[in-house]
Amino acid sequence: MRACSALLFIYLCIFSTSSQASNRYYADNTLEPSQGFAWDWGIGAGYYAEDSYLVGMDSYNDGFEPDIHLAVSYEKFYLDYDQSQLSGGLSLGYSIIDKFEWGLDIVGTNVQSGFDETGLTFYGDDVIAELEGIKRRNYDFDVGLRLSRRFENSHISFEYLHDVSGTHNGWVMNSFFSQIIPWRNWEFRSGVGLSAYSSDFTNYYFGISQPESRADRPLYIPDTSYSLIFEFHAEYPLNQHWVFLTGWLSTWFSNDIHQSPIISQEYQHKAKVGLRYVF
Amino acid sequence: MFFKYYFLFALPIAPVNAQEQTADSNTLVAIPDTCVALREGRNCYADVEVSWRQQQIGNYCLRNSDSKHIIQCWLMQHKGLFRYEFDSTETVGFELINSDNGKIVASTEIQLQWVYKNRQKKRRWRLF
Repeated sequence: MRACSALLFIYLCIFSTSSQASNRYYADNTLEPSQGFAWDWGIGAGYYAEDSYLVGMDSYNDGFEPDIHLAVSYEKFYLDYDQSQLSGGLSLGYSIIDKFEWGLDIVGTNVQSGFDETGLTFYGDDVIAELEGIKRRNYDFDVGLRLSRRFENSHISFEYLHDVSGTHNGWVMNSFFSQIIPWRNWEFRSGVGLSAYSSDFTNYYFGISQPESRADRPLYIPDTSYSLIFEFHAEYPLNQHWVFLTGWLSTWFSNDIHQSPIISQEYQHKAKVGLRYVF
Repeated sequence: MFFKYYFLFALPIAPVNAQEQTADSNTLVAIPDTCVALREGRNCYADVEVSWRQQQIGNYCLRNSDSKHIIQCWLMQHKGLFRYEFDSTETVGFELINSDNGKIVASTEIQLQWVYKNRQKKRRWRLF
């Protein structure tokens, strides 16, 4: 029983994301990077409020979420799992080239959160009437290249990723500009991004297949889609182990996503505050 | 559902970062005596009060223990207070010296700590 609880907990921590996934890339290039093996990890909890884009979900949805983060780096390899900042995901990377402020990396990451007829949260057990009968959309895992250019406290990156999990077999292209602004002991991070999703990706997550269609949910076959993202995040150290976190994410979707019968609006907002204990 | 709503953590009461003063001894105290930065390598900021007390009235100076730079002096006093904004990437030490003979009569320091120690050049945070 205890083992089952532990497994359930790990599962929830990994898959309790609840909105359109997007991957961010920040760097404070004023810091001398750690050499060799370095790592941080911590746990915490946060309160979130969101305005989800899925039909049938409350326009104001809130609750508590667990938070786990792990950052490991060794030479040219790095791994990040960070769920504190409104959702989480695992990212693996290997630096191929890192020269003259330019970088080329192989990266692997989850781009899109899965959902089913219970909504975006897999641990929810109530079927949403408007989503009833849709097949489960799984989490994907995408691998590809990232080209990046560092500035003093900002960063711009371009990625081409392709699904290797067999979930949608499509591609995703991300461009993202981010900035870190330390102010006294605060750290503020903000970023804007533009992403493009292949028709395979868009159709898998937002299309409606023949078996899923019904009178109020017609067949829907979308094409390539886009999203525009803005986010803001702040962290403050309360003491050597406790950190206060807060963040905001807004995403706007192109027609091929928001015209889907299972999407209620062309935007999504989410805010979160939380505390984290860093070991 | 259980984990979603009930995974809460109690925030322990942080110890006050002050050195205990003994009533009858000569003291040099910095409050707070610890500054916590979010990441290793970042500057840490704190509003600090450095206070001192001596049993004998005299001429005293407060100085940086590394650079020996004199920060402030007091004439014919047995106590003093110096307020300043701590802004450093490393621990800073203070010494109180008797300016008549240059001897150190008390010392203290403001320790620097940080939360995150992994300063990855390539840090990929995922927000949603």
